[in-house]
Amino acid sequence: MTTELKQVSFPPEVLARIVPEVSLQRHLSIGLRPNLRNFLEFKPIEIASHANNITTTNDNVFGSSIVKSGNSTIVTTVTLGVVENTNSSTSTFNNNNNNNNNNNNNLTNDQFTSIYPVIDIQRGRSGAPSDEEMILSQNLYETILHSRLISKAALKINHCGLAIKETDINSDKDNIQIFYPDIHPQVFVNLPSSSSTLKKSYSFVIFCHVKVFSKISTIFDLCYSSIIDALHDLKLPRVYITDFSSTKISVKSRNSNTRGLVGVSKSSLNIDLNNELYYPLELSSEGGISCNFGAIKTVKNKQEDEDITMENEEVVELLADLEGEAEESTILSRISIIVDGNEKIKRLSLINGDINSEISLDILQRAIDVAKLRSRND
Amino acid sequence: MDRRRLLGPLNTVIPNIGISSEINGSKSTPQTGISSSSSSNKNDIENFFLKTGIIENANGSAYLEVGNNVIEVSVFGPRPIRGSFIDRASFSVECKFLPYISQPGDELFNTNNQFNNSNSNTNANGRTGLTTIEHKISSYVETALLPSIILEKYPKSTFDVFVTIVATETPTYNSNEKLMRLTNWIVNCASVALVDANVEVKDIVTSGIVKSNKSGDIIIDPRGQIEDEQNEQDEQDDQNEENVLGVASFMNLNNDQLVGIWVEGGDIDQDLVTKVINGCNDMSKKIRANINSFLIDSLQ
Amino acid sequence: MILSPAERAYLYESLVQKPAIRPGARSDHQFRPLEAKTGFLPNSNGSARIRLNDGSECIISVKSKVVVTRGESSLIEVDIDVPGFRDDSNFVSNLKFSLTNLLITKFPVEYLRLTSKYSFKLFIDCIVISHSSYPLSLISLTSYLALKTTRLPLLTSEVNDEEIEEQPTFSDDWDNAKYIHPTFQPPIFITLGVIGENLLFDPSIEEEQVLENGLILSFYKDKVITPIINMNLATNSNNSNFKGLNQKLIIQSINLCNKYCPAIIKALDTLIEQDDENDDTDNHIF
Repeated sequence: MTTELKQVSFPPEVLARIVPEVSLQRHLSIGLRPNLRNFLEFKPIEIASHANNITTTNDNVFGSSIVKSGNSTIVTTVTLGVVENTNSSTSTFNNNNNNNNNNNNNLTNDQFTSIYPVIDIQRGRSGAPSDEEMILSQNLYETILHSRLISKAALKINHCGLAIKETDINSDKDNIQIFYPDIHPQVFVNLPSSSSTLKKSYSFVIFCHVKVFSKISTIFDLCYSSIIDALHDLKLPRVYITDFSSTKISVKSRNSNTRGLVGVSKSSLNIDLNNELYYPLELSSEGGISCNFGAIKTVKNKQEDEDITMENEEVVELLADLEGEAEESTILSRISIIVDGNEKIKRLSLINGDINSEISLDILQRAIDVAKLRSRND
Repeated sequence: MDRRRLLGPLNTVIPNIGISSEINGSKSTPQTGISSSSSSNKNDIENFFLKTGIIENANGSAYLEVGNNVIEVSVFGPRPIRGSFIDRASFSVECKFLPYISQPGDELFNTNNQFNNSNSNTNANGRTGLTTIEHKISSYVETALLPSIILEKYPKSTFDVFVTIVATETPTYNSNEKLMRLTNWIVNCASVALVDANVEVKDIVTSGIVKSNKSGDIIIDPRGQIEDEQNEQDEQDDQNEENVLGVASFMNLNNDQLVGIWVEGGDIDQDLVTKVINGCNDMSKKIRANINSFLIDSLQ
Repeated sequence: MILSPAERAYLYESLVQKPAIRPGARSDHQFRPLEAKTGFLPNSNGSARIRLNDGSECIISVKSKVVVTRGESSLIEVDIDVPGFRDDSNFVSNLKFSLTNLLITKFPVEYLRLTSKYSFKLFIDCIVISHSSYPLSLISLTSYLALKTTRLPLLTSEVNDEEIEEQPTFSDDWDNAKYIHPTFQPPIFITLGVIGENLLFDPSIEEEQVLENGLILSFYKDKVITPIINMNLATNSNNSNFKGLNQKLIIQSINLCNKYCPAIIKALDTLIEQDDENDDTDNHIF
């Protein structure tokens, strides 16, 4: 005897969890996405440029940005490091700088540099960064490097100052004065260590920390716009060197005749907090807008008035700005495009992950068109 | 060398945050630390902004702004555990500052960490574990919240509370006060996040902070500036005779059960400790009233 | 799980009695017997070891260095090492925070001042060789002994170096070295277990499993001082008894400490004296 199996039906939200692909197809067949957007509709982004006070309340932060899309919030902060230039590289980009100031096309790739992003996604786990975070960081690094956004010349520290300490014996307070070769040329030349300061050249290194709250979809686009916004906000400070005479104190020891040294201060690099001397980072090109697309084969129910029979047609549909579990797990053919304001494509990545929903030239063309349109609107 | 994070070229140095070269020599950072405190009454509690449910991929979350402190708490759980059976849930709290924030008391307590913000040549973005100060806050919050959660209801599971400190006060406060004020608000925020996560709790834990001045009077919810105004003339004596600072957390249940206490600072005796506890209790009750009405409102 | 449910219930019931019936027939305010030795590390300025009868053992070495006072954020640096725990674990970090905080805020730094410019900086290294109960009071008592017996070389140069740039020089005779201060008694931590209406001094590991809460008080110059904190002493277990405490117990704990802790300090001082007398005959620690 066979027992009859009852047909089980699930409410839509349960179906979406257990068979996301079926749920997605059912949505698409009625011309709607699970997140209730149109196929080529993007999720709105809010960029709170200059509306945050991270930069003003933290002395070590020089640029910041908060980007929101739905509940996802991205907080990007820019901190700085300094690296000493090797002599050969200094001379090359100085020359280039003189010859073709406004012509980036003649510059080779090694005249550009990138930022060093660390992505930190709030995901309820502690420990080492996940694969996703590492891949995202690397992607952002490479994207910014190859989009020729930041030239090495823009990060070069041109006028490195020198701090002179005068100890006031009466109050036992140190009076530190900072001199710059361009602001105080007279004084600077006479300083004892000015020549050695001028000989060395330094460049800034840009570190980005990107904290992602409430991640629900792919966040490359959001991180990218957040970083670009933070870079626009970035103001570089002046840097000075303290070269105070080191104090050597000998301590006699019974067992050996060597003399120990106590309290030797080394020359060190410091950031001048005078924000009147801050200057904005010169970006070599526009950052542009990053968009992502997915392609999926759907079955369309074509209902024709005269005909009673329904004709099923298979089409590969293009969806913009993927969001949610159903779309992310089911749609494997992806396109990611960055287009700048001049409709120039800065980055294009294409993954044909799904053999059935292959990205055809036609679909790619449509995606590029949409991306260009979006960059224009923004 | 860290191969998992992009921390810049190896020979990068992190410059010290130096002084400003402005003529008058004063620091150019705007004094945003003075918030509502200057106008407020001595025993008023600073206004705070609270929001729940902002983190979609957590079971519950709360966001709190008070003064310049910005705190975000996410609760993950109940999550299944691997390994052997346990009859009650385990509970952990991890509190982290965003890497660019200078932590209160950094130079005193984080000395052995390789990622010490104050004078190391390491990129703070590469910090792995928690600093000593973060551990201290985490364990206070954990101790205070632990008695409130009905862990028996959740066998084989775990609750993980993640606290992110997005912003702190400007360093006009003394570091202990800053640290304890922050801890106080993290407890309040985390309790709301637990409720938002629908975790079964016996009661909401709320917390208060007080400071005593030299004459033994209690200031509820001290905000640094108040005391400065009062003792401007004898600031130097202040250094020797430290004020007593206390944070205490309570459940209303069972005659205001004390679930967390942390007293720091100068000389104490029984009377003063009683005053500190009562002062904290008063403040925690006001905050509880606020949170209760917030939660009732959010249900409607 | 150290105790079975039946053992837990039995122990809990005995400890909530008034007065508490503690294992080992200890009274409420009685510490576990300890064995101490000081000044055994030849390369340190001060050293101490405490062993408890349950096998817990802690060794502390105090070393000093001459520093320019203005260049240092604090003149005391503490490092704690507990085998089986990572240095950045919550357990070790909290021990370190507590001890550093106590010493930085309460240690009379003027004792370390050499001249107007220079000071000694103390490096306190603790190794908890083994422990069963929460080791903070063990570490703190050991640090008491180590600091109390720390000897710093005698300064032979001028104390006043404001006018002339002079570097401190020291007597090279170790016999001339001085203690930090003759009457100096370093601050210590006392661990108290809360169960029912009882407060138990120095709870053992079994007692920690059933405690309702734990208190840590600090004691200095014959009175209770800050910090005062509460915590779950049974760090590694899932203590189901853990709950909030009655506010009155805090006040009671301060009274009890004020009453009984001077005896602990006295006992430690006696230990040092005895150790000094035995010093010539028996100079090995094992």
